Amino acid sequence: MRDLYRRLDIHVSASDADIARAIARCQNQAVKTDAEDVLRAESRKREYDQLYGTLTGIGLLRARMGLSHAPYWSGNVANDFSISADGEYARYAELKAKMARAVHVHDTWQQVRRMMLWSGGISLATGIGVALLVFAPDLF
Amino acid sequence: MASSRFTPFERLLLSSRNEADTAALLLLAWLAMSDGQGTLSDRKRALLDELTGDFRHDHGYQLIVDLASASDFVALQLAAEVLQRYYRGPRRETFLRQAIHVATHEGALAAGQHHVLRFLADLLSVAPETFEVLFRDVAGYPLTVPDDPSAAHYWRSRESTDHRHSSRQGGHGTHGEDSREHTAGEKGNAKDSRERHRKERRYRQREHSKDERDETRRRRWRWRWRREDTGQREQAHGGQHSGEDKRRREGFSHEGFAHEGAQAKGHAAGNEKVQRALAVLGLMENAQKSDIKRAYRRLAQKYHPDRYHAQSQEAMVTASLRFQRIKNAYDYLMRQYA
Repeated sequence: MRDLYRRLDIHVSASDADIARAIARCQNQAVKTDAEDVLRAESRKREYDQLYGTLTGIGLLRARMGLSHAPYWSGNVANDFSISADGEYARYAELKAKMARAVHVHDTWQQVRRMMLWSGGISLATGIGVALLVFAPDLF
Repeated sequence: MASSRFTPFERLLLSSRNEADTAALLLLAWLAMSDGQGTLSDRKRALLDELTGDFRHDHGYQLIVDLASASDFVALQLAAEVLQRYYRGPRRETFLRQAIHVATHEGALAAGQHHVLRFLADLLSVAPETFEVLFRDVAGYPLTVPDDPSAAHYWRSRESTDHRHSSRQGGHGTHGEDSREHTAGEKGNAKDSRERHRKERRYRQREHSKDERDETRRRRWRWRWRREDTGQREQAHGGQHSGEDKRRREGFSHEGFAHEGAQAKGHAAGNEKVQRALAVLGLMENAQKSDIKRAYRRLAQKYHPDRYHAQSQEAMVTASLRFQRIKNAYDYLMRQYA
């Protein structure tokens, strides 16, 4: 399976007219005939695009997980669908980091709440004491 | 900082009773849906249910199905990482068996499923040989090379078989031109597959004979060792000086051949050295210069220290000693044959 779009130097979402122009421009006879046969027929193109999507995704996953030199990634597929590692992080580590941050935020919030409750209680008690002192000094 | 909101799949993982099972379920659903139709039919869903009956995930299916049908590669990457982290040893094979079962349940493997299955095998670092055995075991037929829909001849042969099917079902004859085309296509197809089979067989034979050759070489090598060893012991009994004896027993230590020029004593000693050097390269006594060169190149490729670069320090050191020994033997022989 080759990446005809890459070989024709166009994007997957290119319009039919663009594809036709690119095919006409193409110098490589083998690619030209194959692209003509595959991309110019509606049903074939649909199926090709579906597989293309799967393979692009697998290429991406392999690049990000360091599997682009594994034994089952070879030949035309590997040549055309490998992308260079894009410095993407590991998702699992990212999830763990997110969890750690969420835990931290939760803990901080709990602490702040406790402090607010305490200080609220103390100021309430003081307020009541002061009020009593001012308005009902007879009690003391 | 990356977005710190949790994605739906992350939330699912966190709420799952078993992360690995949730991840495996997503990957299996993805595999089931990459058959070109992109939907999870009821039959496939029933199969997944049946296969994953003992999974402990405790959550609904719908999100998994949505993610898999949208080919959400962020979620898939996370699932793959979880799987890689948790699945070790025999659990990998069980999972791959499930995957093969899912993929081959409805007839032949679709091209997309070919690639997804291979990705899963690589992900769990199951070697192709093992995976092919697994595949044959579960599916009942060997793993083939995936079709190539980017080639025109794939479509021509496929559409001609489709056409034949439809005309047979419709029950009316074909036009002359069509039938000609279809027989041509079929012939091409048959030729293709025959060609492929022949290639496969030839390849197997080659592998097999290579194995055999390796085995005989190893045997010869061991035998030679033993012979030499006894010879040396006899020599030691005969009161030979032990320094050289020790050096010889060490075999082809990395200096073994390096200072040969200074120590070359009579013809007999030289001959023995040649034999030992040949043994290092895995060759018989009457090897030609071209054989030596070929053997050296093969061994150098196989044991070059650069190949062990990614492994531990120790493996690297062993490899470089071994390579040094091979190189010394080769250099010595080249000097002798020059």
